[in-house]
Amino acid sequence: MTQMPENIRLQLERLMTDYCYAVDGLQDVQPLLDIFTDDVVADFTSIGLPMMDGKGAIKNFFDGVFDEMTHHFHFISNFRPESYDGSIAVMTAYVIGMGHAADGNSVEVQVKYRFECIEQNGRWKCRHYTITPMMPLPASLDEIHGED
Amino acid sequence: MSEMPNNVRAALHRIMIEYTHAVDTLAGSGPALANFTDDAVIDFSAVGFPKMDGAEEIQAFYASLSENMTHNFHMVANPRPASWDGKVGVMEAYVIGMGQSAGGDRILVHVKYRMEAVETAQGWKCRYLGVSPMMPSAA
Repeated sequence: MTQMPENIRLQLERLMTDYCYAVDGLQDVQPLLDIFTDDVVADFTSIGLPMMDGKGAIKNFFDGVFDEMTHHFHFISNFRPESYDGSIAVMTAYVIGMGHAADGNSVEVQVKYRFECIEQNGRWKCRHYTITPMMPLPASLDEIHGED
Repeated sequence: MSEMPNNVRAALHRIMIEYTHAVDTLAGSGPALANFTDDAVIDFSAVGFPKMDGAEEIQAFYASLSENMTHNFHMVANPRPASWDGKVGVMEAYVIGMGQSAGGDRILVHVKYRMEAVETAQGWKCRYLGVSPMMPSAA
């Protein structure tokens, strides 16, 4: 692959960090939606959570998450460019994600994020987001964030 | 806010790394204190520890910490500028902090640091450090 330029690498690292702050804010879903393109696809299926097509689906999912969670902590590290073709940049990172729900349940996962990003109006945004597990998942993940 | 220049961003992040290194090496108060201005305020009250006002109180706290702890581990991630006005830089970061005392007690916290720093004749120094919890206490 073409080597990802340093400035784009930094922008993607910062975008993924911004995403963690947005998820952990648990108040306003808009900063989280600002991370993504309108036609984003977010695929959480490999951790037993939904495939989401478009910002509306992401908003619906995180509206529910923000309602039920009292604490979030997404600790991000190991940023690594995966590919760059001159317009599409892909970066992965490791995340320890923790949460505590209003009903007392709690969850901790060790996962990899993959952000496929493009530049729109001078800002890099994620157009395809996947989460894959790196350690066995706890049962409490489905209890907390599952669709039922 | 104005965008924080990359060199300022790096300087603030490095203070956090130097500060946690100083705390974790348990080498007395000097290395920790070197990261702060003389009039610095450290506020740990949100996680059940003291609020310290000025170098004397900060020195006493870290001297005591070095005496009473056998192990410390503070891992910093998610550094992100919060504000920059051309002189004062504020950066946040997430920290997983753990430690064990000489008496065998352990602590584990998941917190956010908020560090306010200024450039001095001795380089960038922290003038305010606040810590807020992000997960319920493990205790």
